[in-house]
Amino acid sequence: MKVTLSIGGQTRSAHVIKRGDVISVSFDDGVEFLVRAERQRDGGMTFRPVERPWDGHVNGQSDRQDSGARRTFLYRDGSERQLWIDGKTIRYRRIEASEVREPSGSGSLSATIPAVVLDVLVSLGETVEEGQTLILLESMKMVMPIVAPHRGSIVALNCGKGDSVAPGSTLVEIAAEPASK
Amino acid sequence: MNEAKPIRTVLVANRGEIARRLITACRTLGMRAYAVASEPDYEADWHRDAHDVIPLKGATAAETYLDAELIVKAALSVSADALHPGYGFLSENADFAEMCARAGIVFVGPSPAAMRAMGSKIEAIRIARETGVPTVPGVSGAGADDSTLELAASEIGYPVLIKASAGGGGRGMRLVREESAFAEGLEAARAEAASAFGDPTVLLEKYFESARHVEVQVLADGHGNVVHLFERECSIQRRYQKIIEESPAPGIDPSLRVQMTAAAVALARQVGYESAGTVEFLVDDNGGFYFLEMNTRLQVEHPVTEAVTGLDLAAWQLRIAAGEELDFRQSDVTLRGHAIECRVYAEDPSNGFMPSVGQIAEYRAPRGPGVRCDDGVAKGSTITPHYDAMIAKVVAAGADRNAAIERALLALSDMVVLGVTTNIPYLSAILGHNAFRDGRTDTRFLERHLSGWRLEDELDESTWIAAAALEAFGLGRTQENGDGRDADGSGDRTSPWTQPALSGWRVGG
Repeated sequence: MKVTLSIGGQTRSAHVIKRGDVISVSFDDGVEFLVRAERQRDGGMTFRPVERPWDGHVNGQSDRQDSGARRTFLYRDGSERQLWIDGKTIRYRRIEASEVREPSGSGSLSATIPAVVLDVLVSLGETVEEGQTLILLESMKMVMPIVAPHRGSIVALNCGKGDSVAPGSTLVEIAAEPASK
Repeated sequence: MNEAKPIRTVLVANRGEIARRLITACRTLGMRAYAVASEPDYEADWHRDAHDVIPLKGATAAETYLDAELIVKAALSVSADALHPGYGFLSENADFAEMCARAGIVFVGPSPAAMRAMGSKIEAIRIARETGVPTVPGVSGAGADDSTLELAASEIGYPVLIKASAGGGGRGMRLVREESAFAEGLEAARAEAASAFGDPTVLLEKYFESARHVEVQVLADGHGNVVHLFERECSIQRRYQKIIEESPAPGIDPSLRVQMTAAAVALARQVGYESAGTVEFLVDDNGGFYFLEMNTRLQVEHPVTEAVTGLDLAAWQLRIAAGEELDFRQSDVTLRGHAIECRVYAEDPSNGFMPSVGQIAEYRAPRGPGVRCDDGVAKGSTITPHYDAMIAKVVAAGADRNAAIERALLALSDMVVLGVTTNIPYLSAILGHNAFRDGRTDTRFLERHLSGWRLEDELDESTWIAAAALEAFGLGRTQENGDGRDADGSGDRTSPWTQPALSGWRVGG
């Protein structure tokens, strides 16, 4: 999944792939990193580096070249984030894919709770019928279909298989078409 | 108040962390504590341990915690023997103390006469001079016109501080660095004093560019015993508000300590002081010390004194109010180790210290050897704009100053507050600064060493990596599942879909 974050006035995008408890983070600027995640009983999440120590540069100085755990707590409010990491708490924003796309003026469908896209069953430009399943979302081990409320063509598809989607983020947009004759 | 009256029931007339602290003190002595709570505080966590809570109508301080008649009525409604005012609100209001006495309720604090003597800064300074306690060069502005004051300012020598006579907490205060700015500063200070305290009277004081703020804790009973509990250094201030305090004070040598504590005790005796009180001094670079004011109440920073003396100040206030005599002498009071207090505020140091309001989504108080956290909040508490933004005090004690600093740093880094922004990382930056570690604390420390501080400058690559990795999980606390469930379902899995998955449908085309 593609993640774009805006932290402290800086914006970076990364491809994030999760395989079990190991997560690979590849930033567009070339930084690649593997971490192992462990959920704590208190609700926090601990990350440990895999293969090499943390890139420890602070203000360009490498003063933290350790491989120690980073304890975290995360609070989300829409696209706003507040991350506690080893005693430092920082606010930032996740920039949603939908924010960088022009709204098409057509109907759109979005998730109401945080979920993961299990499958995308349609493609851009495809004509769909009312009641047709477009996307499968998974959240809390339950699968929920996103279905077309009426006939139309897919004009925007803002998610891919495996993406985490936040509440309110637009997943798919359909331009209504006259009913088939 | 020498006549002994047993105290069994106490009304705690305050809110937040200090109310919790006082409820604990009552419980320590086997007294029943009642709390009062304004509407925004009905569901607050700090009155959890009170016997009961008396609800007050209204949200503002003026219509609740500051309403003297309402508070006395609340105390009478539960037949309270005594009332503890805490700090702020009605704690230094002599008229309120008199109202309590007339209602047959013991006011936990000094006599109204002592409060009045020390409550007016002009009167307090006059008494200090009479007692032979050195004071800051300055003049009283009572009855003086503007040109007389301007002349006096030149005689004292710039920079000069203009202060509201009835003030406190930095309101009605103006620093004037040169004669040309005096008239404007005077006008502003008068206006602020009039609106904040209903009295435009001001006083002038010499301002020290580099000085320490050191205060002496005194404790006096109704039997003529007055002791001091050493000093606290409170120089780390932002806009005249203390944010870090410690005891003992770095830079105070034993002979200066003897002089200052003796002056504080003499002053307390002079006004017939009873209960806990604090005598504030400025200490200049040459070891000169000058009386500033006396706070006739329990201080926010009293825990550092408790940590180094082993005495329970809040409990002693209650015992003294009940007519008890101090059961120790001055020579029994010893200073052990070092303690530091950090005030945790819901504010954003990276954004002009803007207050941060909202619900606390995650809260973990620090704990461990030598660590004490006095707080007024819990997970789920709401920080409202109605009251002070201080949510907790983290106090760390150790064998010496370095040990206390290290424990305080670890405690701050263990503390988790999410949902609102806090000054915790800023407090850590202060404690970790070399000038602080060297004990080079003075009242201009923050502007000298931490202006322009930004949290973002301390973040490293692991923050970005963790932030990105966390997006791969549907986890973290969200507003939607404020009940503590994790969004990826590892917690409670009952009724995961509270709303239909489809929403936001807009018919177009």
